[in-house]
Amino acid sequence: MQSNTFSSFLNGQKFITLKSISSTNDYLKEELSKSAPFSEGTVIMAEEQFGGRGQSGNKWLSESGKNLTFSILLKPSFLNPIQQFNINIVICVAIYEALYPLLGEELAIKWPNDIYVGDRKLGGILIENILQGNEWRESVVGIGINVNQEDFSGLKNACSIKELLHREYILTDLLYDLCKSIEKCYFQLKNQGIADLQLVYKKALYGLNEVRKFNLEGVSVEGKIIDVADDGQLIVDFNGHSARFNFKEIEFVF
Amino acid sequence: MDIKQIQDLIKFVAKSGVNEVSIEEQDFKITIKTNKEPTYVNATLPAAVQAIPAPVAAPVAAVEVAPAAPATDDTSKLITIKSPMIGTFYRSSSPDKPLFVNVGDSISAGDVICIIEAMKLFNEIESEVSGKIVKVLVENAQPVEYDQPLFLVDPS
Repeated sequence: MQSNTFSSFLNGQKFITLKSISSTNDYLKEELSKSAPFSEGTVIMAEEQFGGRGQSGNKWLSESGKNLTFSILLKPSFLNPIQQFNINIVICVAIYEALYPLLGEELAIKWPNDIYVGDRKLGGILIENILQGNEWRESVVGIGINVNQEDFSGLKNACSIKELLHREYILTDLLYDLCKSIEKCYFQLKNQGIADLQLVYKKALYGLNEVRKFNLEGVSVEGKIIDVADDGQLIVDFNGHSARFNFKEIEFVF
Repeated sequence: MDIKQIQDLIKFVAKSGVNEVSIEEQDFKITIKTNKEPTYVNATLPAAVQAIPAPVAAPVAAVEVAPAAPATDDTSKLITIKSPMIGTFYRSSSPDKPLFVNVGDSISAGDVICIIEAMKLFNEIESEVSGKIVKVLVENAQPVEYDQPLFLVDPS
């Protein structure tokens, strides 16, 4: 384990890199439960993450040392837990803005929080919050971005930055850009509210205003994403009738 | 209570905007009403005289001095832990992991008791109280509303 200080963002926090860990989120949560004095902005990065989780417990496969897998600690106690989709927006927009100069127009945010390039997944986010009563104490934000991995055997809709741009990227350089961007968007939420961030999130939304196929609990339908509600529900239009969906109530069909 | 006190009380009600004042004593009960919503003052005689000026501080607000609570039964000692948000209630971190808490378990403030998932954000809910889990009010993987009771805890 190596411990450094990244003084230029989220001032004075800890940056911990681990050689191999089951999940950086689990590590951070476990340390917090043992009352580790981690301040907001603490970053845990793993060279190899063998138990990383994707949505609904799906394994997220990462070749050792090739991808960026890290967790960052936030303490959004200024927000009510019912506003927690705002943190999701902050993280998605931060990643989008940090990667946009590299990847351009094809970059998109797939609702609620995957990072896509075209129709392929580049990365994902797992946010785990710790609440006591109505007090939102901590937010453990896990981020995984495919960077230098080229072999995605078995995953037909995955991609990496190297695959797209044909060059290697230094993981910690990218980490630095992402953390800077998270800091910027997080303080933007704190100081100016969610409105502008919400606009970027919606503009970057994968499939916005396009008729496409969805799976609604086994039924295949055609619809068009028209908006995302403040609480995060996806609003889809079906021939002039709109409906709202929670996560898992609607599935994209590729 | 003499006639002077009752006259003063009527004046107070008229001036203050209190809608109704009820005074119940050992051997009599008096209710002074305007035609708006009720306010109750229950007191024994010396206390009644002292209690009456209180509503003056907030003349427009209905002031309610509730009667002493009836004798408590067993369940009133229990604390209800409620959901801080709309979402899906989970009793373990994943299907293959043990439940966070079972009925009969002793918990301390700060222990994780459930997860509520909302829009792919996972919320570990920590107890604010210490005590013993008496009842789990929601089934695993069921949707919950804001403020919906989740657990009954005996703090004693």
